[in-house]
Amino acid sequence: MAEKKPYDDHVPFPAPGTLVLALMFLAVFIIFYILNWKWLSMVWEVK
Amino acid sequence: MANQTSDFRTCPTTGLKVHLPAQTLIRINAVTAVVYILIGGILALLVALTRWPAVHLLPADLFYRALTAHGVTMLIFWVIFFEIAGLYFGSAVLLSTRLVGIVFGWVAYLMMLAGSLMTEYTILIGQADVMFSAYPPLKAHPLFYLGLILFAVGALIGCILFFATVIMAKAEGKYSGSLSLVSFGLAIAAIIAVVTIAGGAAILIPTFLWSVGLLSHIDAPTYRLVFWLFGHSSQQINVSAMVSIWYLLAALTVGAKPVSEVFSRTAFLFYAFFINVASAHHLMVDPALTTPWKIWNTGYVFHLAVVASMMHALAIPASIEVAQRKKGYVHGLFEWLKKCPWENPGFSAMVLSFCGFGLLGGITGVVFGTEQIAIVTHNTWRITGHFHTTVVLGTTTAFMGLTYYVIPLIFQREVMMPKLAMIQPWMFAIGVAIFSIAMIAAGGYGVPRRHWDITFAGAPYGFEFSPTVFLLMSVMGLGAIMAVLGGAIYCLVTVGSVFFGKKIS
Ligand code: HEM
Ligand SMILES: [Cu+2]
Repeated sequence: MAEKKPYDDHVPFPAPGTLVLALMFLAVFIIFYILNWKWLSMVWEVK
Repeated sequence: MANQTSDFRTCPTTGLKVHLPAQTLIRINAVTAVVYILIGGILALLVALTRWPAVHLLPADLFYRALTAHGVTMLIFWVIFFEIAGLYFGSAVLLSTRLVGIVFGWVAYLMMLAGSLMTEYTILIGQADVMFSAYPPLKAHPLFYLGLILFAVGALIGCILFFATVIMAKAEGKYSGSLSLVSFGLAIAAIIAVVTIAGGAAILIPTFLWSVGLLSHIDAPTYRLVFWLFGHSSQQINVSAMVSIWYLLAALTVGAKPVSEVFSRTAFLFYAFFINVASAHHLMVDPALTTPWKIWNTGYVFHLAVVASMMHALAIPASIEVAQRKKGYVHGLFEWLKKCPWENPGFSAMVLSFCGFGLLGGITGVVFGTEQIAIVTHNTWRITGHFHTTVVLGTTTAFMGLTYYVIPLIFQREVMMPKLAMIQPWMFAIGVAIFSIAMIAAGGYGVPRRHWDITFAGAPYGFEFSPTVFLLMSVMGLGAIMAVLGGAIYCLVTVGSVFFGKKIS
């Protein structure tokens, strides 16, 4: 690719990589949240 | 007024004008902080090796003594001495101005030193085996409380000098417009510190009077509530200071500038506004508080403080990405990240602190702060694991990273043993992550915190933990050894450089 400007004027967000990282963080958050409830309820099952 | 130019030197790398009397104060506070992390680290090893069932090093009484000393030494003395150094740095040095009231700076330092020695001494002689939270009816020797009060008043004087310096600098035209973002973040930390110290005084002074017999009674639920006004907000000082250091290190290591000043400043303001309401997460199983209050707080209000951290978590990597893209690293989504100065301990410490605090500390904090979860995990190792990912992996690692800049800038010495310095943040952070995750997992099986012997040997009523627990506790022990080694390298490199490093003229 040829030399580009740091970021394109048409791109609304100047840090696309950061956006992807933030979405990954959100995914981890959701997964941990669900697993946490699932796992705790298995370990501390009310019989 | 002492404002002669002879009191200043100009830093050859940054061009900042450094006020020499302020520099001496920064040095002495920072060195004292490092001495305390050294002591706290030795205690950490003793505590961790006792809780590792296969080793079980200390007898019960010494374990609780070491645990009290570890909590107080690290959470209060290491962190706050470093923060006071940071406040003087963030005001006088970053604004290229003089520190107002140098004499009071020395008074503050001596009070903090005397107070901390007093408290450490009472713990050491076995007169204060009450843990750092010191819940009544546990009662310590009066000197334990008096030492903490002296220390807090000293720290308060330090905060006042910070504000006075900032105001004076403005009046003298040392900066125009608003404060730089880093100084602004530190100002937020100092504001929260004032609230915190007021809370500390409100609870420690009566408790002190109770310990000398002048008050007959301390109401335990009130103590717990007010204690956490102090205990929780003090963690928010740490968070604000840590985030300010992230911005500073991003600027120093890759030349990052805040993408949006308004956005980042708003996030800092959120800390100041919403921090105290989050203290409820310490009291989720406290019978003295009502359920609606707990649900209102943990279900709704405390997320406002979380939002602030999420905003910084977006702003900081974005500022790094923009700075790196300007340098031409524009290929793909992540070339900018690959081309970051990973071999620079200042940079790696910042990223490790950032990721550790966000991914481990932040997520576990939000999840465990939910009321229903808190009921199951309260007083287990899940909590201890959680706060070691925030205040150790987050705050402490960030402070370590900043130290690699403080040594050349303030001590005017080159960092010795650069290879060791390079691996230091990795070793420390990965060790902390390992032992904290193991703690969190063991806590999920119900392993209690502050417990000398979970096998209950010789007790009339035993309890069998899942065998997995013993595996997890061994992993904890190994991670702790790695973290302590990383901490030892930090002490070695900093003390070595400060006293024997090559002088920078
Ligand atoms: C190498 C680093 C460290 C290791 C291996 C370590 C390990 C431990 C262990 C094993 C415990 C005892 C848990 C229990 O029995 O309930 C503990 C407690 C604690 N640690 Fe650390 N720690 C380290 C660094 C720090 C730092 C840097 C801080 C603060 C900035 C800190 C703050 C605390 C606090 C507040 C407690 C709770 C004390 C109590 O329950 O009263 N630790 N740590
Ligand atoms: Cu808290």
